[in-house]
Amino acid sequence: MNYASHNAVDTARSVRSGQTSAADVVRAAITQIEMGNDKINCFTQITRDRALAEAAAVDQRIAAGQDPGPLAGVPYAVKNLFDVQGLPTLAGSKINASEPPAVTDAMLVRKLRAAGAVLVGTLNMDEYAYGFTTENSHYGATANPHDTRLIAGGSSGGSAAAVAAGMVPITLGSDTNGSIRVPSSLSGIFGLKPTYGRLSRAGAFPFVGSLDHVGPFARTVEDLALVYDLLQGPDPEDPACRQRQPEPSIPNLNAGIYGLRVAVAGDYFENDAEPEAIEAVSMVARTLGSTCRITLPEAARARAAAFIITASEGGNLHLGRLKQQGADFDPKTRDRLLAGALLPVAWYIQAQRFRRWYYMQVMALFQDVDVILLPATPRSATPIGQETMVVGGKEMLIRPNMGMYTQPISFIGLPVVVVPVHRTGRMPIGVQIVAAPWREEICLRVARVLETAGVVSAPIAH
Amino acid sequence: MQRDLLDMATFVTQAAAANGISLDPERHAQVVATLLRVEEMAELVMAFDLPDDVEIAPVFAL
Repeated sequence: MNYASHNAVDTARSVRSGQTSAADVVRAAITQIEMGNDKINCFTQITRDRALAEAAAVDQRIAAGQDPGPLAGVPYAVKNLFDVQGLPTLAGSKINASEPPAVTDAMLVRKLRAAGAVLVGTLNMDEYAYGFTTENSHYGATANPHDTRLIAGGSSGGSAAAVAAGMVPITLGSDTNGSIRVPSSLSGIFGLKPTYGRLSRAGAFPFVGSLDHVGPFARTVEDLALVYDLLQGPDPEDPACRQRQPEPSIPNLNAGIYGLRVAVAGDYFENDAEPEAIEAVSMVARTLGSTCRITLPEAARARAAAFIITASEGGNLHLGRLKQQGADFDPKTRDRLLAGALLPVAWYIQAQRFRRWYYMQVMALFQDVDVILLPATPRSATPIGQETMVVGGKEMLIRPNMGMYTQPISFIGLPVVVVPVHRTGRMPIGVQIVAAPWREEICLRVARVLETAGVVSAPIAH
Repeated sequence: MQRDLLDMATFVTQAAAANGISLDPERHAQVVATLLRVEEMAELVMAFDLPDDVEIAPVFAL
């Protein structure tokens, strides 16, 4: 039986009740991964021994009458920028492969392990998380499980593809400018980018400290919410993680949307969008009964400022490696990081000051609305190897531009759930459900309403 | 555009030297081209008239 294609909640229920064993579930998941990975190339490492040991520990707890945790026996995998004890933390690079193995697990991996989940492997990504396509020169491109000629999106492309392909029900990724939301959209699954500072980044290889987030992917809203709840909590190991106690979303997940004011973001977020992206937002808005439109002021400038902060902080982070091991970088990321390392400081400071201004303007909008809807990507997935796309009648590079609608949101750390709209015979595309800081539970409630209405879903690709 | 390109080429040469980065001619050309794309973004940001009291958040508190 293919337990890996089950959702996390059902799998944990089966294991906890003794209907099946964690060992059986995990063996089935590894078989599924080994069968499918040649085609999709989402896993860069399968952690078989560790997975079997973790599964055995879960089964022993059950046999001893102990609580095995809410995710007992649920297989999961993480973007290869998360520390996994005993493995070098690749972050998509060749350079890091020769670094010493991680001494401990990343904080979020520790939390999932404590909840009974079982780590089955690590996942492909753009080198050092700088890209939206997961076409990695060292480890190959990750294919979209819905059409293997197309990209899965990035930079957490392996995380999205592994879930979309039914190899595991949950994965973890990171999102600096859209790296959870873009692959969720292009691979047709649910993804959560929480509020900046909500989840601990300790043990996750950094990219842009001012903008880095981490979060989960799943095929159902309930799985996404449950995992998110288990990942919450303050962590002094991450200087950006706020001292904020967990605010569980599961208790109100089915509370509906009565009283919530929902608006569609217009102007910048539709001007260059293909009709399929506009239609997806419209369909979601109709289901939610929204007729209100708002404008996020200066969104194009916000996107530009995020671009500059990313280039500058990313370039600075990698300056030593660029000097000493420049030839070992993926050519696609090297020149962007080099340029970022050199850019004038006035650009960076103005971008950071603009962030403050933009934050104040957008916060004022939340006086009048609770939820903002906008496209996750300007179009659905593009072919692997293709450099440019035409959106809104303009030709532009895919790698830096597929996140044009995600960047103005993560720029000020707002929480977002991406919901996947599937269309018969066409590739999926996602819609961003955005709320005010710390209101992830609103995003999840809205996503649950849409899922229940059958408007959004994440069927396994075959 | 030609003038911009020359200015950026000079800037990259000097900024790379200041940062101890050595660039062969091909890398140099690619970095100039990339930085010109970033400059388009910077023009948008630098053209915005920010009030004097808007400062970088000392702690990015939402």
